[in-house]
Amino acid sequence: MAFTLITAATLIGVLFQRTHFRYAQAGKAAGTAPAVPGATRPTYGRWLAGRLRALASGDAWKKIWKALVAWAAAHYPGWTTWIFAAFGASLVYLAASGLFFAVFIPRGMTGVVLLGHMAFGGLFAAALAALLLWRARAYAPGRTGSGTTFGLACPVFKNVSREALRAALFWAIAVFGFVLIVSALGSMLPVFVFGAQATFTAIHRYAALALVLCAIVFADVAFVPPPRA
Amino acid sequence: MASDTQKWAGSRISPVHQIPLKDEMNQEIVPTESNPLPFSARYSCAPCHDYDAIKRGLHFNGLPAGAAGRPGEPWIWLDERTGTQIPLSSHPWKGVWDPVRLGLSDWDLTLLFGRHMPGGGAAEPSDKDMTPDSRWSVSGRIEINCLGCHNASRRQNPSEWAKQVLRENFRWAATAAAGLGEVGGMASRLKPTWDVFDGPNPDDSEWAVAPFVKYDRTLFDSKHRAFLDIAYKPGDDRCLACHSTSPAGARKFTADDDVHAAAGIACASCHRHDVSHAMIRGYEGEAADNPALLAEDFTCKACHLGGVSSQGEKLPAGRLGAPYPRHKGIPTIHFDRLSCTVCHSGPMPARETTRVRTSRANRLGIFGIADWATPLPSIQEPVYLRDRNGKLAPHRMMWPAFWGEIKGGQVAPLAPEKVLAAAGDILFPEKSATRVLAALLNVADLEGTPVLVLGGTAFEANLDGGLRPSKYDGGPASSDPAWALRKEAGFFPLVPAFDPANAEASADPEARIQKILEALNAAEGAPGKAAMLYKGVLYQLVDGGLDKSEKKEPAAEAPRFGWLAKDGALAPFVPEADREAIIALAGTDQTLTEDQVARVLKALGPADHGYVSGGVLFRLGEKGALVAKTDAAADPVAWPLAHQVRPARQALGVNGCTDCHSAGSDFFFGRVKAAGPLKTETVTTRSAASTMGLFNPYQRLFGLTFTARPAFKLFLGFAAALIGALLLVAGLIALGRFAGLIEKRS
Repeated sequence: MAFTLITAATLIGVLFQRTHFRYAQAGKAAGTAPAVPGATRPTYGRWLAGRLRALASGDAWKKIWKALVAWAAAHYPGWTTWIFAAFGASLVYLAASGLFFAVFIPRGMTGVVLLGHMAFGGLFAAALAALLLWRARAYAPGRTGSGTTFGLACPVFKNVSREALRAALFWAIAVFGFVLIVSALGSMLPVFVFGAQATFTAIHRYAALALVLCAIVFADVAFVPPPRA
Repeated sequence: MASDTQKWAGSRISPVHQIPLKDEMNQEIVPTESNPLPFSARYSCAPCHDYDAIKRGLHFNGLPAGAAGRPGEPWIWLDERTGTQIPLSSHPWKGVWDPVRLGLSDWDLTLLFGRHMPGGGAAEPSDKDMTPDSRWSVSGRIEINCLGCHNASRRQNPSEWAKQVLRENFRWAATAAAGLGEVGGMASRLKPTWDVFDGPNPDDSEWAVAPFVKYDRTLFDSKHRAFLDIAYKPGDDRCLACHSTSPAGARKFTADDDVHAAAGIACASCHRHDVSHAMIRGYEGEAADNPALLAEDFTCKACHLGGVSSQGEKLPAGRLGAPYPRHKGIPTIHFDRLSCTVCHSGPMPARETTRVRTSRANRLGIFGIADWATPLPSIQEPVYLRDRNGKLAPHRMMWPAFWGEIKGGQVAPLAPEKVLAAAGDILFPEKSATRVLAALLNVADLEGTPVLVLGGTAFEANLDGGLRPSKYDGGPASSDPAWALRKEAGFFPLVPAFDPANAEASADPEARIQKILEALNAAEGAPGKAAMLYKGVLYQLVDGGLDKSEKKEPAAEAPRFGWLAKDGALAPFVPEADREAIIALAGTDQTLTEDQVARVLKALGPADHGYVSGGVLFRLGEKGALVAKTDAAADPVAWPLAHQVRPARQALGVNGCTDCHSAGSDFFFGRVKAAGPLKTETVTTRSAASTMGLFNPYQRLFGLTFTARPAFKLFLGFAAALIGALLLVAGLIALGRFAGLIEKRS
């Protein structure tokens, strides 16, 4: 139950933060930034509803797909596109199946979905290792970015460069991915006792949630272009 | 917990029970008196123990229906002759029949199951529950048999109990079984007007002897107080008298104890109760069924893992020295979906389920000249089914069998006596043979045991009026069937070969033929006059002498016996249908053939009758052949098993995941094949996965993945090591740059 509540709260929080940030940026770009914070909610709601309506159309998804392909082609040239594809596909399946069963099915994952989860888990591990081997240099620690600053809800890191944020998210995804793999592997080894197994399961769930949240922000930061004036 | 009438002061020893015994009139028993009454537990124990509180205990059917809890072993109404095995219980469990619905009175139940009843309940009905057809006034009621469990003396004899109950000596049974005295007489032979105060029957000291007791005076002191060797906690033998379960056909010395018993933990150490005798059964969720119990304190989990009791108290692990299970490498999902007993109790899963016998169902633990134990009903374990809490648990399973009347699509069981009345001799195929074999035993100078040779098997009559098969190794029989003699040297023809035309040589054989025919004609229920046909000569007795006449039939090379019909035809002693049934059932536990079922259904009325066995309902089709179909009435009854508990090293999964998760594991892909009294190939068969409610092909696929599991683990380990190394390097670089040891890149 605690995990369900935390999942719901963090997902809603992150989605709200990102959409609200986008909404504020769109307002700034259009020169109609709301003067009174209290007045933003209905306008934000209408804005969000409009966005969701737009998403419901086939064109929107075609545009998103195009943007994704373009981004992947730019950042993962040649055969390395497969790394991105494998990582993305496995991440989407694992996140969808894992969170759905963790939240809605009290008795846990089972059946073909579980088999798929394990298969995509293997793919995810391979893709993450390849990602780090071939793409980590692009996010090497210490590189300072000079791009647009990005607003965060955090008061300390309120304004960080887009590049730095992307790098931080990349490494966070790598760390959480590592934890996911280790916790999955640990529960398969005939070494750990019941208490450790239960801990592995808990760690696996929370690491997965954290990774999904990071991936959402990363996708927003990396793929979605800033609003045009 | 129900309040105890006796407050425990704290001493852990039990008092010596040197107490006056009382009879059912609450009068003190003086063993030296003539014709003393048997002792009454109600009045002998009552001064200190609340009999009325005890009556509400689990063993005395005192539980209200709502508190019946998870299914337990039902009583099984077994009648081998008619192939009837019906699970009975007054509790609303799935697959059982309410005895009242089947017209069984308390009297009937006591006669059927009193052998393993602890008294009380149905065996001690109130006046208003006594049905007119009963004989309670003669037999007396069976009070709760306190000594049946609490007598620590090795003289406590369950077989004596069963014997007395079968003799309808109900009120005497406890006295006899406890060894307090010797009980004679049989209430079952007395007139229904006899009363216990009538005393001995002066007119009959041989047959209709009124029950009496001669107390063992050495047990009494000068104040007529008897020493009872009472145990506060009943010994395991007392429990096992009614609760033994063993694989059918196993040898006793190969049987291991339950791991708890081997560790010195008695049954009553966990299955506790106070004076209310509301016994803890020990399953998870029991506290919800009966909130008054400290039930959850004595589950596997509570003792081995600890936790929180049903009363909200913290339970430390390791009660009674229970080892803490580490369960290394077992994903936690197993503990959500499986009960502890799946891996730790009952026999290991095999390709086919293990057939077991239980005390109550198969009449175990009763010893005597006669063979009390019955091979039927066939009970199988372990069958993995979902428990009430959704977890898998191993169960025992039995498939009902009965003749039924079909009304509105529902099959209602018929009582065996109704079936017997309609079926006549159809259900007694051996009768025609035993009649002859019994008669042949009376023939002087045979110097051997008469046997019937049939289908390569020799059958001889046994003491129970049945046939005992043994291998026939006397070479090819001269005819089938053949009547022969078994001697130490082997098998010999009943009548040696001779030439009927040679008067001198045929004198001795003809003398024997005469004796045989005399004995057969005197046989009880002989359907006609016995005769023998041999080499064109018909032998029969006429006016006490042996008559020879020519018979215009294909000359029999071997002596052919039979009953002479009015038209002069010679009908075989054993009709063909009976022969087929005898051959088919020889050496099996089954008691019926398909042919018998078809004939009995015709006799009952095929339109609205059927026979249930092996998970299917048999009816007669339009052409008179048996037609089988599934029916809810044929569904099995199952109840969870908890014992025998195996040690951890013998638990399922000790060899790794593939104990269960493989493409062909016995756990998922073993078979549950229905069994019943009918010898047939048409039985229900289910895979273990399907009984668990799982999708068989998926489990096979999932099991297959475990062949690649070691490689998968290696792969994941390699990936984790690589990712970990890169993260470490990145972390060190970040640290170095933060510390200024590595130059920052722009």
